[in-house]
Order: sequence, then C-alpha cells, then structure tokens
Amino acid sequence: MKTKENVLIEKSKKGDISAFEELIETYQNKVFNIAYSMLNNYEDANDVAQEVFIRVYKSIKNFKGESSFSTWLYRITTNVCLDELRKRKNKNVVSIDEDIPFDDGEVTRQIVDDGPTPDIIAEKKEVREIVNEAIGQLSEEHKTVIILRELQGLSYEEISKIINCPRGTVKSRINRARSALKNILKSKKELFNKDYVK
Amino acid sequence: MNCEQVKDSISHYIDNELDEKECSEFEKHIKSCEACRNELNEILETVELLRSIPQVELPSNFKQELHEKLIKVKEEEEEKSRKKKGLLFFRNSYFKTISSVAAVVLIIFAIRGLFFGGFGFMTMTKGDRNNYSTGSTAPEVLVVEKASPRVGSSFTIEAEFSDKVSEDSTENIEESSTQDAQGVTDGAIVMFGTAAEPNESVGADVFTEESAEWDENETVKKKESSITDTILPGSTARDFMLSINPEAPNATDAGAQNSEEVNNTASTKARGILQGESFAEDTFLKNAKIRVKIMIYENAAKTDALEKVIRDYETSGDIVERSISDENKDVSIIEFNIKGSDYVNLANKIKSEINTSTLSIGSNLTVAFSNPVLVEDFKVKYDEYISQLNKINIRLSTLAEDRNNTGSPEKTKLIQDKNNIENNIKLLLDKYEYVANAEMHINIQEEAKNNGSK
Repeated sequence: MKTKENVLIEKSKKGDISAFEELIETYQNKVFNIAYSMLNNYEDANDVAQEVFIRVYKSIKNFKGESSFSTWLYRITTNVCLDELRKRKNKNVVSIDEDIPFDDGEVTRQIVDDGPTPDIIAEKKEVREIVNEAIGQLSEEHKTVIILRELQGLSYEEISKIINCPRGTVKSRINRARSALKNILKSKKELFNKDYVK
Repeated sequence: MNCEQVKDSISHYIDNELDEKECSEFEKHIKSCEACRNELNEILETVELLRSIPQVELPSNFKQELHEKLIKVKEEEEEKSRKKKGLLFFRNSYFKTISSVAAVVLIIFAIRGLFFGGFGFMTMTKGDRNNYSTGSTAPEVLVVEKASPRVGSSFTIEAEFSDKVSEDSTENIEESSTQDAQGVTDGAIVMFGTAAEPNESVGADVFTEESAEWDENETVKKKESSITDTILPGSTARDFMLSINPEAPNATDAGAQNSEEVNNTASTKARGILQGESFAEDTFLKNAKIRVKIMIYENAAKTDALEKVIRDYETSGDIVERSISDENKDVSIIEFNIKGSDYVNLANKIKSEINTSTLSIGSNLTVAFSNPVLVEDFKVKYDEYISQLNKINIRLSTLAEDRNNTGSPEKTKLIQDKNNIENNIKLLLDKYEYVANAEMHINIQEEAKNNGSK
C-alpha cells in the first residue's frame, strides 16, 4: 500500500493526472469533511476542498516525503480552511433574517437554497448542524484539533505533525478544546434530542 | 491527584494517554469526587456525540469538477516549464555548443549574403533596414541579462527560443545578410566578444530580450530594447565576453565555466554581508530556498492577495500560514520558501504594490524587509566549501597565466577537486529545505495610525 502510494506520488510529480486522482481517491472524502466541519457550509467546503487538491497537485513536486502524504495533505487542508475563515471575518456577512431596507418600505430577503438536497444529508442533520455551529464558536486552534481528533479520528502524533506543534501542546489543546466545546453544547442543551444528551 | 489535575487529565484519560499509576490515581479521585465525575461524563458524552456524526458525502460532481481544473492547471504548468527548460538549456554548459552552432549558421548566412546578394530579398524597404540596424524591432532570440554592478564583471546569459524564433530569426538574418553581410558578421563578433564595442549594434537584431520569466528584473525595464541598452552603463562588450569565455582555457565542464561567478561569490562573501541582491547572484545560493516570514500587523494587508503575489514567484511547497492574535495587536504570519534569486524581486514587488487597493486594507503602510541570514550550521559548512573553492580558483588563475602549463597534471587535479567541491555543495544544498531566513514586516505607518485614532 505504502509503496503503491509512493509510486503514485512519483507519477503525480511528473504531472500524471490519473495517478494523482488515484492518489487522492481515499482522501477526498476526509478533506471534504474537514472543510465542511471547519466552514459549516457545504458550498464553501466544495470550493475549499477543490482548492486544496489543486494546490497539492501544483506543489507535489516539492513534497519530499519528510512527513507522510496524508499529514501533508491535511496540513494544507487546515491552512486553506483557516485562510477561508479569516477571509470571511473581513467580509460583510448579511443576515438572512434581516429585511432589506428600501425607500418605500422593507422587502424580505429571498434566499436561493443552492445547498445539498435533503436526501444528501443524513438524518442526523439537525444534530450535525448543532455540533457544527458549536465547533464554529471555538477558537481557530481548538476548532482544528477537535475536527482532526474527533471527526477524523487522527492520533495525537498525526495532529502534532499536521499543525506543527509539539505533542504536549496538542494534548493540552485537545483537553481545553473538549472542555470548551462541552460548555458550548451544554448551553444548547435544550435543542438536543434526549438521545444525545442525558 | 487534586481536582485541577484531574480536570487537566480528563482528555488524556479518555484517549488512554495516562500511564498506569496516573490512571489508577485518576480513577480513585473520580470515584470519590462527584464534580469531577460529572465533568468526565459530560466530556465523554461530547466526545461520543462528535464521533457519532457520520461523514458527509462528496458532492456528486466533485471529481468531475476537480478533473477539469487539474487539466487546466497541467496545461498552464507545462507551458511554464516549457519556457523554463529553454532557459536552463542555454544557461548551462550547452551555451558554448549552441553558440558555436549559432555562429556557424550566422556565417553561412553571411557568406550566402555575399555570394547571392539580393537574391529574392529585394523587396525590403530602407525603413525596414534602419529598423534592423538600430535593433528596435528585434525578434525574440536571445536574452542578455546583466548581473547587477555589485558583482562587477559577471554576466549571465539567458536565452529562450520562442515558438516563432526558428522562422523569424532565420528570416531576419537572411534579410540582414543580403543587405549588409558585414553587419551580420559584426553581430556574430559581438556574440563572441572579440573586440566589439557595445555601441556597434549592427546585427543586434539577433539579440533581444524576453521578459516573461524575468519580470521585476532589470531586464523588464528594457523590454523591447536592443542589446545596446541591455549592456548597462559602465560595462563593455568585453565584460560580456568574459562570461562566455571562461578564463580557464581548457575548461569544458559546467563547473569550470562557473569560475568567474565563483570568484564573485568569494568577493561578495569577503565583504561579510550577505545581502538580498548578493544572495540572488551567488552561484549556488540563488537556486537555494529562503524561508520568508511575512508579518502583517493589525490586518494592514490582505493576506490572500498577498499570497497571490507570492505565488507568482516559484515557491516551494505549501504556504504555511497562521495567525497569532496578541492581546494588543493582531499579527498574521505568512511563511513560505522562495528561491534565493527571487527574494529581492518579491520584496520589491510587495513594496511597490503594498498601497494598492488589491493588497492593502488601509493606506500608508510601511514595509520593512530583512536581508536573508544563512542558517547557522549550513553557513559553517558552506563557508568552508567556498573558501576551498577560492583557493583552487586562485591557483587555477595563476596557472592560466602560465601558457606553457596548459594541460598540466596539477591543473587537471585542481579542476577535479573543484568539481568535487561543487558537487558537495549541491549535496549540502539538497539537505536543506531552506538555507536562510528572512523577514518582512508590513505595518500601518505610525502617523496614519495616530490620525486614525483621533
């Protein structure tokens, strides 16, 4: 498996698109999911995940194999996501509930729903949204470790390589992130189905 | 364990990160302390909740969309590397071979011009001809890039074949030769540096500048100018000759051809300052990577736009970006590696563009950039190699003056040593992801800040 990946990497370095696509096949879903939980928006996750793979394709010739490919890939993913979040911070976000003021009164904002169709989202949609919102309230650092640890199930070791921090830092950061998330979720408790929070 | 310690260890307990002793102490405390038990349970629930969430599916057209983008990127990259290969080809030791071939071609045309003067080319107007002798409408054939005066007599010669070169240049050479065979011959002489003065630009139409790859360089300012302009004041055609006629007469390998540049490297280093420009001119370091850290204070500049500017240059790997929010101010950091030869250009580009609307959020920004500082343990080894090279070069130039000594065993050995050292330097460079550190700071000018706060 490992050697096959190396072969694919070598081919990708030469620009072989089909080798590259084979290489990222197993990671696409994860990258997309990281992006989705980081940004809490399906469309943005699509754009960001695409951007991640384009960047990886462009710079794979510089990938020296000092870390594993997945580590490198996830590092780029979190960087692109954080970048996107920062961009958003600077953007003027309009509230969809707000009425648009006009000279002769107000008009209710009409929003085109171009998100995924309901059947794409699993039935746990509501829970997912609540959790994603809660994650969205975490600081960048906490958000990143929580997503990598809980949603992607990565080890402390891997996370420390991805975010370029010592293992000890990762450990304490995960601890604090979980505690912070717990508090946020607690305040949303009433929104939960009893199955999920006792 | 007290409550505080237990709270700090909850995560580690969940993830099995505690050793046996810690684990039993933890469990002992949990049994007796209700508050901590509640805390543990809540965190466990949170973790379980998070882990229960299924992954979302990829959008159905994700792969197709990506595939199309990849094909586009590949085409762009291939276009880029095609151009670059042309450049490298000429830059390397092949230059001699190629230029010899070019000379033969030129001479053939010149002779053809003499013997078959006017044959088939009489339609050319006088105006056209004048154009050629001033070289102002030159086709793309050769690029002559002058190194900065700092290095004195070192010139590097870059060349690229554009798609149309084979047709255009041939045509032009033919035209010129029929009109003025002598002129073309002069051109060939300029090319090989035998005594032509820079203002003798007859035939300069075979040289011109190409700039796509050399934006921001001195060359770009002189885009579409002739060779006369390319050779900057203070230099002569003889300087130009030096770089293509290596001082070691029987040196045929690439390493020995660099001898001129290596000497310059030495003189640069002797001054004890490794400045941005000299970094770009160092034979070895110009291709090595500098780790640059751009610090943007108080959101003074748009990081995404800045990254775009950076990406126009060859950067290696990923842009490592993270933001550190200090209590008092917001600092964004962009970190990346850049080729030694590109650093100054990038810094200047940022400096000149920082107050444009695309890059900055406010106005009146200041940009400060440091000279690259070599990574300490790299520097030690590198300096050692360079000083060895210098000794060899000095010895070689002494030998070169002694004409009777050509081909002596000592010389052969020296050249061999030199190649070895150069190879070692290349190996050393390969070991480092980057060999120097540099910083740029982008900040709002104090004045503007004060005005803003009033």
